[in-house]
Amino acid sequence: MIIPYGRRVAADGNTAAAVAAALARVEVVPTYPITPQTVVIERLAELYAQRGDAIFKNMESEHAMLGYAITMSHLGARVFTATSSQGLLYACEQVHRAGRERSPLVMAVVNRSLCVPWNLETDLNDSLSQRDGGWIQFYCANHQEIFDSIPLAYRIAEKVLLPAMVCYEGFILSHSTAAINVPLQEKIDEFLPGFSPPAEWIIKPETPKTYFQLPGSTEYYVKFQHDVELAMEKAASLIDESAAELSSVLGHKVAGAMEITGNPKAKTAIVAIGTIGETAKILIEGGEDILVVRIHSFRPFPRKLLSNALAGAGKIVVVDRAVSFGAYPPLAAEVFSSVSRNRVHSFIAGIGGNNVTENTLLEIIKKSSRKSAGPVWILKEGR
Amino acid sequence: MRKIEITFLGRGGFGVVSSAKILASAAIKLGFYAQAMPMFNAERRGAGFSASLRISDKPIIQHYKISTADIVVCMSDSLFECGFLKNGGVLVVDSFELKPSAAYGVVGVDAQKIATDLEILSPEGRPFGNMAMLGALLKVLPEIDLATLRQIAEEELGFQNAAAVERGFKESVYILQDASLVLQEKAGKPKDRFFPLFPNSTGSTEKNSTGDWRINRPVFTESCSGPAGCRVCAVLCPENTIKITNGKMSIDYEYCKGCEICYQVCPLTKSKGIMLIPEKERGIRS
Repeated sequence: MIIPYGRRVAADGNTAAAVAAALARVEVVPTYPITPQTVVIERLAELYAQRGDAIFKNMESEHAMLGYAITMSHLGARVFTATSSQGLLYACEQVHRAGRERSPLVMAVVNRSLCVPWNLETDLNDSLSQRDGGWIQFYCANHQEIFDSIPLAYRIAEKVLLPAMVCYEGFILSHSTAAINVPLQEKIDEFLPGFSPPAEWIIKPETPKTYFQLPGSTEYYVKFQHDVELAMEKAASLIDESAAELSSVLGHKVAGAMEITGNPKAKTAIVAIGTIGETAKILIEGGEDILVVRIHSFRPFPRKLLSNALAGAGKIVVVDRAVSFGAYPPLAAEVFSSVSRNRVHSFIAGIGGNNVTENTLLEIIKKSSRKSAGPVWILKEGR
Repeated sequence: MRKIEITFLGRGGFGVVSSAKILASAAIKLGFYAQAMPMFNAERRGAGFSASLRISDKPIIQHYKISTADIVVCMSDSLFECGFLKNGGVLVVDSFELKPSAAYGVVGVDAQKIATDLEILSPEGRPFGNMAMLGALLKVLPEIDLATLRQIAEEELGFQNAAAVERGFKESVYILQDASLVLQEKAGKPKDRFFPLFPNSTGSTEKNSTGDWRINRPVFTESCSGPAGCRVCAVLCPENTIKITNGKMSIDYEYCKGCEICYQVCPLTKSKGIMLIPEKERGIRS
């Protein structure tokens, strides 16, 4: 595979992720295959096969893969990896470790639904179930955004020392082909200089140290956790300015924490994540008087920005492509935390790759005129 | 430019994914926006399979599979349902035995013959008609020019496939929709698609006749001692197509997918109880 520097080309989402990682000059890529993510590491294998300055490593499992990634990240390397679905769940222990250990690695998560029953198609339950692990989480809505989010994720991750997931929906984005603009290497280098780890991470054999051992007092443990929270707050303050900077470097708009489309004074607002948030924009083209807010960074969650954006909306319709059995789904729960609860209507649609079309969304808006006690499930596409 | 929605229907191994991808690449090269979205189930050769393709001059923001398309490119007759196509749409098929329809126009091309002529064959010897069908599709897609599509096909799959695109375009026939047929044709009304609540992931159901996947047809020979014999083939047939009817062994060719396991497992060594006869006509179903 050859990187098409400075060209507009047709690429699938996985190739876009792999090319973005290569342009971010990642140095270590530990891998383990799982559908629908496998293409990412296949492309990276092609790109890294002949290189002596980078490590491409086949691991024995996702758990080992992320363990390796965390360690290499702590040694100061720029680390990239990718996984999906059950693979992410298998690496769950390491996911929660990476956030608290402050390893600024980036992992592409190609969203795929969780078994049972086995299903290859998409929903966001895999990565959203890991939302509390201390990772920055970006959710992409199109191929270009997959590409753009990877340098953006490295930039923020390395500044605040937190790992980042770049999540995008399997098959809908990962295996579909669309146009992406690949910038010149200099452009990415300008935005993303090399990573230098903090001085205290550098291992000096003459003064041996131990990292992350049992703390003398639980107060130290609390401090560690609180530091993660502070790092998240710092990340929240960096996302929009970094996205603006990347936009000027690349010459096209890169979404920051969220993307707002439509009439800001409309009575009805749709809040969604990923491709549903982009499909919803077709309603605006079709003449509906609505506001569409698409969340790009789910962690840190842009609470203040969202409550400002939704200030004028009388009815807020939240469409989740994920569930939290026995409670409101993840995105709805976040919207509840940002705006007054009686304006919010929660819907669950597109589970397991079910189609969410403009008709589905119109049906959802229609249904939202009725009050309901909990989230409303949309089981069929609608027409 | 109008916004065009195309569905590709075929079976795993027919080149459905690469067709959609190559056409999307051609559209992108011409400065349009395109989105080719293949839909996988449990992947395997021969299973029913589709891909959605959108082409537009504006960025494409709809991210879901197409239910009813402007154009359907159908590589396996048994997969097509009227509900896949908008009224007034166009169906592109791999056949010359075309009938005009009241609901849609038809573009026909003998794609498998073109592929056979150009020796574009799968490892099993099955012709790949997908590029010839893409050429035929250009008859109803003037926005994409032949030279660009040829070039992309050559870059991705080699010069024979580029030649197949050109021959497909030149040798295809476009039959317009004939609204006067509406009185005779009851099927003119597109039937609703069936959306089961829990879809069968593999598609191997009674409704899905797998008989047209076969390259070779297994037939019992004189050497087979019939139902009184071993019946190993009947036990090991994965589709359960070997039965005993009227005291004889028989095969249900509607569902026999040509896996040839029966031939392999037949314990007779000198002369096998089953022989394989190449299917002369493609898409045969007895």
